[in-house]
Amino acid sequence: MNPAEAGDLLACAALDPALGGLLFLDAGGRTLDRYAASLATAMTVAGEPRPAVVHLDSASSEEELWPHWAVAFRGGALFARAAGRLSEAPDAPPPVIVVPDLARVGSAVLRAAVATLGADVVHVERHGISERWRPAARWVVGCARRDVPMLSPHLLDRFPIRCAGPYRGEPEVRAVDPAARQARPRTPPAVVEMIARTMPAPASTRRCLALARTARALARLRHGQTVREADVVRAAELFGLSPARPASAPPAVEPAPPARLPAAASLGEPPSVVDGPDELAELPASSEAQPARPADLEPARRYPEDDEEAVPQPYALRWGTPGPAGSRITGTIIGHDPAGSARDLAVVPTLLRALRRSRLRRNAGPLRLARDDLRQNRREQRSRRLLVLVVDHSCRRDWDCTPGLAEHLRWAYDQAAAVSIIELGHRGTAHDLRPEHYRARTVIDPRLPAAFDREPGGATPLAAGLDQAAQELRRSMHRGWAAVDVARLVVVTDGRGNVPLAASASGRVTGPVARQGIDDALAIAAVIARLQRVEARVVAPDLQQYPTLPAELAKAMGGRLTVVADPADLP
Amino acid sequence: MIDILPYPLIVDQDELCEALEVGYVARLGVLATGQRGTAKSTTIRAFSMMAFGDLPVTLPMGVTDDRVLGGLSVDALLGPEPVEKWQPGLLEKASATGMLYIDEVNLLEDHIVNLVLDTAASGIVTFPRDNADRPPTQIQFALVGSMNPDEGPLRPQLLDRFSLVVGVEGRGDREARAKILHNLLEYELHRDDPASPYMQVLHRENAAKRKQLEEARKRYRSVTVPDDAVAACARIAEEFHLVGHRGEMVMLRAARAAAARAKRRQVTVEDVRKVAKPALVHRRPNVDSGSPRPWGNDEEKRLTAAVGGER
Repeated sequence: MNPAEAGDLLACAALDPALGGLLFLDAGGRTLDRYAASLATAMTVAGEPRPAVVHLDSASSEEELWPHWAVAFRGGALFARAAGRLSEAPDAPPPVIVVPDLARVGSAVLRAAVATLGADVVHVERHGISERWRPAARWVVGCARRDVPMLSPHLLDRFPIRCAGPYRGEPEVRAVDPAARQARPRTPPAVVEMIARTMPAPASTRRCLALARTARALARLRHGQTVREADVVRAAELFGLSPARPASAPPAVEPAPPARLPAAASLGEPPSVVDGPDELAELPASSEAQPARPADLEPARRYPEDDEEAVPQPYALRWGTPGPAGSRITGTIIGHDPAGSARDLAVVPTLLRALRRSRLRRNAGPLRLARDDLRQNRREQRSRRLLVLVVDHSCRRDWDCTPGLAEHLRWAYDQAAAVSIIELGHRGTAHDLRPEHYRARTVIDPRLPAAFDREPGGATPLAAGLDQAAQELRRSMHRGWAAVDVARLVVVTDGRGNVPLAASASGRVTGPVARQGIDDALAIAAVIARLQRVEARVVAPDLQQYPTLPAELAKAMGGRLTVVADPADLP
Repeated sequence: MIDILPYPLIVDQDELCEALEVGYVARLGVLATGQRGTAKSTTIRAFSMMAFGDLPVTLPMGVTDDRVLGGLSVDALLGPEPVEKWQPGLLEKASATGMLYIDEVNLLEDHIVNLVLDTAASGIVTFPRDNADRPPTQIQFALVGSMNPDEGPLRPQLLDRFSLVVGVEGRGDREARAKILHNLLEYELHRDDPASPYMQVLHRENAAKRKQLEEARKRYRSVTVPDDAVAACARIAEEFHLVGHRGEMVMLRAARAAAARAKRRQVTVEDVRKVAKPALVHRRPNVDSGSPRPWGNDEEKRLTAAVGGER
């Protein structure tokens, strides 16, 4: 990106808050700081304060990002409403947010980006504070190109503008004068159509809108009344795209003001363009030409998440990257205790205590807090381990699988792990083709022994059982505060699934199933293998028929196989 | 003032708009699930602005339980004359308007989901906090949500609380894109001037739509359901192996709303057919993953057969 391109892009972002998500590929911290400072300069309105530049990192918590109650020492200690780092006030310019590495930032920041960027409105409802505003903050974000495919596409869509290095020189910051801020250029239908053709499918609507808004911002910068094809060509260059050829119709020209006359019918139809003074004469001839595209401007390189090979980390916005140990206050509030420190104070209980004391002493006026008034939140401590147990009863017959399970049950006991049990293939099941699923808070739940003492049935919906296990693992491991740190999946089976996944879903078997049930189970096992922080195990009987199936399943799950021989078979 | 793209300018969202309108008439909840950038939130907010004249009461990511259920106002306790003043929670506020919107519903914390589920199931909100001496309050609201399934599934219990589910897909063709761009750019050109003819037209169109829906709401109670429509519902439920009866009830209520919307006094079998997909797409057995399975040609054939009475 050369200084002129950087200058244009930053000026466009300064003019239009909807262009607030700028992702710089392979940019270092100093480069980001430079660009953020230039953007703040471009956003500054003469005679008004300069926008604040706010740095967010992996330690940024939800509490500090959003408005909150802070302890303020004024005479006696009082709580005061404090702005969050992402707060925006009507009487202050919106901030420039800098995130040095999007791939290594905490989930609080990722969630904030999704809630804020490109949103019509931001709602904050936390600890008695209820606020909403139209977000206008600009985000200057860095990320290594190789890390982009691993990020959530949902998150990346918030950053339609991608800047690619090398980042040469200082950005040539363009003056955003009052006339540019006031300008409201119209985008003629032919230009709209050209924009729609320029953005290659299947790009999201947000990217298309960003291109249109960039072209419009370029028109505003030159005080134009109409967005011209040349603006689209320049915007496409900045996005690293090949601009589409202009429509065969005569080039759009400025409408004679005031030619804005939409009627009911026009809401669905593009308005007609009114002839007016021809500004095209001012255009340098080269602007209309198709510019040669530098090699590093290919869209695939700017949007690596579009690549079919891209495998994003699942549910990153639930899970994200945790901050440093101890930096997060987690767990549901279940009460309050006397405070030992000023950390995680319970605001209302503290104030109520102060109020009661104040009434007893017949004090008038605002509350003053004493040390004894301070209360701290008591939070639920949840197990952060999970055992998912899939028990295929159809393989058990007279075989006792418990020797193979003992180490896992002991692990669950030691770790106070929650247990999720999926049973299939037993005679007493409500539906032969579907597994049964229930959860227990601990491994000493009385339902657990019964799960190892059932009569085998005929059908083995192993694929559906593994599918439920996969869903359970995702659900448990990626849910914000309740996230499980480590999960262990133990599958007791001989691998001989004879119910295809589709049959479990529809509740009917149509036609011969052949190997479909086994193949479906292996396919889902491969999905499980991609889940992070999951230890997979297969516990299988020592069989003469199809002895390789359990090993195939364990291999597909990326796990370990334990074969437990029946004592009756031992020499 | 927070402005939202007006409802008449929403493009390419026919199924979601229809579900929201049917939901408004029959007071049913709606979940919009779809990929990024398909204007799910914008459509729901635009609908709320049209129908209620304001943004929906919104339960955002990171909400705390005191804001869901209500609690003592911190501002009042910190005032010059401290008093214990109740600050209503979002559930109570939503009951006043009739709609609670949860953006990114699949990113909501578990304990908040539990609070919403308890209240939605019982229709009563209790206030077990801040020593509050408040009786349990009856509340009623339609739960409206949006989510990107890429970010994970919903708990089945919560999914079941959404009466209608719409899978939102952007068409992505050039014509649709051009129209979206055109509408948005034109709107942004005029939005600062509410007196402009352009904005006035939108205002009138919104008002006309609101009037239509209000009339449909009034008509809804008197819409009758003939035996053939009831039988069609039962056949569909049987064909899709529905668990429980919520699916049939939702189908019937949505079909009545569809008839009321079309200014009719009686439900037709075609009304039932039209609402079957959003009412059932998430109620088919083994949707335990929390993301509705796609509704394809096979489902359409089964639906047609069930509606027509073919077995």
